[in-house]
Amino acid sequence: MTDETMTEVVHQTFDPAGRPVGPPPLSTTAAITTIGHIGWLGWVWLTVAVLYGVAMIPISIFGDLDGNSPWQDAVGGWQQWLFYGAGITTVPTFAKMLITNGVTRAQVSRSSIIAMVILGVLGGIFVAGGLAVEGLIYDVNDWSRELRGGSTAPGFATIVGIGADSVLVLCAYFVAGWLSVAGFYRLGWVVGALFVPVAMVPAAFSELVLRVDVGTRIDVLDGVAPDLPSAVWSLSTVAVIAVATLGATWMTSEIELDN
Amino acid sequence: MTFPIATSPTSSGQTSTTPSGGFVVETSGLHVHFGRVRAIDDLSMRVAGGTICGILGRNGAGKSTLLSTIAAFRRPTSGRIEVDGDAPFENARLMSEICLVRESGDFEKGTTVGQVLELGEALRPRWDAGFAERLVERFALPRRMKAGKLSRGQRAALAVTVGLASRAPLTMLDEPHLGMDAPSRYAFYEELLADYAEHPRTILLSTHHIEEVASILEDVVIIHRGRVLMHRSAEDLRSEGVELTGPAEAVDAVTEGLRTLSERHLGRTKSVVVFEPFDGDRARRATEAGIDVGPIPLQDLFVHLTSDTNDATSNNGDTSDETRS
Repeated sequence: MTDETMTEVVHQTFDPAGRPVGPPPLSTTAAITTIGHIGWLGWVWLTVAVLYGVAMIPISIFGDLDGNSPWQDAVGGWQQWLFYGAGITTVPTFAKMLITNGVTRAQVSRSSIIAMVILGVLGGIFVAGGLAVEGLIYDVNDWSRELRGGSTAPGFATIVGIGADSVLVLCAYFVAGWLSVAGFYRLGWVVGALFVPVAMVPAAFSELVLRVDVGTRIDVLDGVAPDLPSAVWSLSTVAVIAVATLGATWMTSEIELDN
Repeated sequence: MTFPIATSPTSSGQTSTTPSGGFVVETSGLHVHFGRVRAIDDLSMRVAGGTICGILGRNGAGKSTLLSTIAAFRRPTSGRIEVDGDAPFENARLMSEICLVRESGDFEKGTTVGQVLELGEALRPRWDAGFAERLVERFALPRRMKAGKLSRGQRAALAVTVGLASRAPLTMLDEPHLGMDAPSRYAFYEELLADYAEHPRTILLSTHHIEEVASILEDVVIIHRGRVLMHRSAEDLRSEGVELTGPAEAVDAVTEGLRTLSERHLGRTKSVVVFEPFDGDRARRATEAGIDVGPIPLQDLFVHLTSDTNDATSNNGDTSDETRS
């Protein structure tokens, strides 16, 4: 055995107690960003769900809701703006918090992407789960329900499709918010403001090609865009989100914290 | 067989020793510009590992910009920064081992004191939770109170708690203790010194309370208009400046040809601040002439060196290129 093998250098630092010392793992920083968002988003969802439940009790006893879907009209339609707000906090809240605690911008971005996906999935479950529960309420009361887009008896597949499309739309809004705020940090206030419409492209694209409510394209594209399977539109939205995420990561990679 | 050795990698492929003594900080031709404003203007310095170094300068001198650039909060416009042999910007190994706390605290307003400490424990590789708890108790910080509700003094106390408990090999404190009252400041100095003795590391301390910290500084860097005006050990700095007080004619005689920073007259008595080595012969002549020779306070020296009337000094090559290693 040579001296070289005996003393091979391992690029690892140890503290006086012999424990390895190094940057925090991605799982830690991703947990911070995800739980940080859920901390307020969860309360909003809980509040909305409770209010919906409280409102439905007297209606179930004394009223009649034939026709429309309160969950779709009053809850599902604005969830994306919560995600836009969540995306906006990526830089001023989470990037600042993590960078000042010694985390690289690259890891901040990776953590934000993980948070975006997890939150998007939870948001999709919230929207689709609400529709499913609402369906049960309608069935119990023997009401008929018609979702926007004409679906009168949405089955499991339709509900899952709505949930899946919701995930994409919510992620698209998240990255739009992230891009918007990164633009201000990277480009300054004037150019950053002008950049906001560009940053909104992922959100606008997802709205145009996915109809979250029923999982099909919205009418405005009929006769304009080619009649493609909804999976193609979903995949194209995934691609737009991916490109926007790359852009947001690139813009975040050089942000500076004020003195 | 492999024996893990306490080393850390550098971009050059070299290894450095374990940072138990603290990181070396070196800048060369550093520039940080904000538009037309040159906050840092060709700044070069080298701070040895394992020292408490005071970063002194007037408002707007560039202290905060320098520290935030070293901490990788921003990228330099040009020039070089090396911490432990590597550039810190987006360097995961270094960023996790560099801790800069500022007067603002950089705390999210909605996070509680307890959450700030949990963040430190989760993200700082050398965090000492027990030490943090002890400091929280000493500074009487309310664990459940949100950072946005803390008083300026409490926020400052939380900032120094994070700075000290991080035990980062490069710890930088950018006037975080300005908002603290005098007893809290002295408690901070006491904790800083005690912990530094037990866990040596490089500490850069920016402050306006120069006299308060003068006794704990081992190294002093004076920054003026974005450049290093002077870099000396605290001991050298004090010994290089003397204040002579005595009969005006006698004082004039012993200070002839020496660089004086200021003069004060009181009747026939004259007091002159000299900033040059005052050797044995001169000191003997001064004593024989009935002149009192004493060290000048660090703060007075700082004021003299950075006052507008002494701007010539800032451009004097005698001091601007001083570095220590």
